[in-house]
Amino acid sequence: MYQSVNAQCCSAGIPVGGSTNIGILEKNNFRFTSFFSYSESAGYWSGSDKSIFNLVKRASYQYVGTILSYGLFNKLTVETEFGYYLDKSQIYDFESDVNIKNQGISNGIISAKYNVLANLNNPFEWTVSSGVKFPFILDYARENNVVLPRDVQTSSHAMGIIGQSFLYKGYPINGIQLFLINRIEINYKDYKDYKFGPALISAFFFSYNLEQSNYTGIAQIRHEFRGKDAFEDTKLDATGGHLVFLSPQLNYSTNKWNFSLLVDIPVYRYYNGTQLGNTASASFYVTKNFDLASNKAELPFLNNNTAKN
Amino acid sequence: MKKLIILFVVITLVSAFTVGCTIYDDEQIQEQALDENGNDNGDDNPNSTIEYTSLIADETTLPTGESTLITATATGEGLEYYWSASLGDIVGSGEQITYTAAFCCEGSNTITCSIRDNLNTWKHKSVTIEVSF
Repeated sequence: MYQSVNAQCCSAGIPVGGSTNIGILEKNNFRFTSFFSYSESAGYWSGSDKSIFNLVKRASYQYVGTILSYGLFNKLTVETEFGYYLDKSQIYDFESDVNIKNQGISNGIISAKYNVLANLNNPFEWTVSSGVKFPFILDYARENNVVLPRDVQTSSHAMGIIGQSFLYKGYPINGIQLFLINRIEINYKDYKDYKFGPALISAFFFSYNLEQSNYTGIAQIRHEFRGKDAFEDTKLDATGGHLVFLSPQLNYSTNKWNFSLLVDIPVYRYYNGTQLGNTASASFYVTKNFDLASNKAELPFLNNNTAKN
Repeated sequence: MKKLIILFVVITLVSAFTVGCTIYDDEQIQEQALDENGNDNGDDNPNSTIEYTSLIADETTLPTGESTLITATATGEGLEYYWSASLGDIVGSGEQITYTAAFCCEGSNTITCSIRDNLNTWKHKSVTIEVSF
């Protein structure tokens, strides 16, 4: 189960801030997750209406990321996440189209997840996590000695903190699982005094195991609120807003391998001011679990292949 | 195995951070305060070959989404032009660029062009463009 985050101001987004593998691991277990994301934005929006404004005709990115997780204890998992933009570009609608492209490493995240509540008999779990987002690149990327637009920069150039709550309720008889994830991201200023707005993300997942098969279907509805960015302590009016996504996902699990494909479809958008709108995103995840110890699962979430991811 | 994995994670993070932090070190531009007119004579190196005449924008007030040309005029040996904007986008490179800004960047924006010669001396100028709806 994965969650991706879209749409900073005027861009195709920054996935590493929100690509989240939510499962907690048993002690001495290790999990490797690799994923590829593609996202595209086109067309401007004012509030919740389409705008005739046109400057950037199309923005997109291709991103590969890695998440490494390790179960320090049965109730505590540490995780690190980092990634690389294979391509991040935007095409300006000038007399002749101008395509500005960039590629490079994104931010990293180090976090710890702690299981607060777990009930095996009546499957229920509550796990909280907190982490630090840090930039690998501090300076703005340039091409031909020109600072590239902020929306094609691959890094936020600044530190941030992340907090997350994960609630799980399972109905094993029906093969149904419900998840609720709430996440907050707070960003700090970069050295140029630019600060991305805070993000509040709530996602509800409905997961259904197809009987006697390795396939699981998941439907996700996600609300993302983004506060306004600020430059030199002045909020920028045309940044941030509300987005609601519907994300169907298909999982295939076998022998501790897990493959997952999901698509993000925006179903509601409200942008502050006028901004470039996200059109669609798709991601493909591969996960492999390594059992470095022979501990039995102690959490309800761990007893289910699908939920592990 | 456990130690190997921890070692792998540590090495990955340290190397990525080290590489990331040094990628643009050789492109760091000397940060120098500009005077109230957006001019700066750069360092006092008497050997500087740079004669930085002007930095002129075709339009100094710009409707959101429109663009304007900005031209740096200078003479010297082996000149390189470094451009940056407080907010908004720069398209192009060299002596003349195109500046444009969307709604996110309304307000008074500073575009700076720093010039370096083959003796590694610098001179800077900036121009202010008012972006409004």
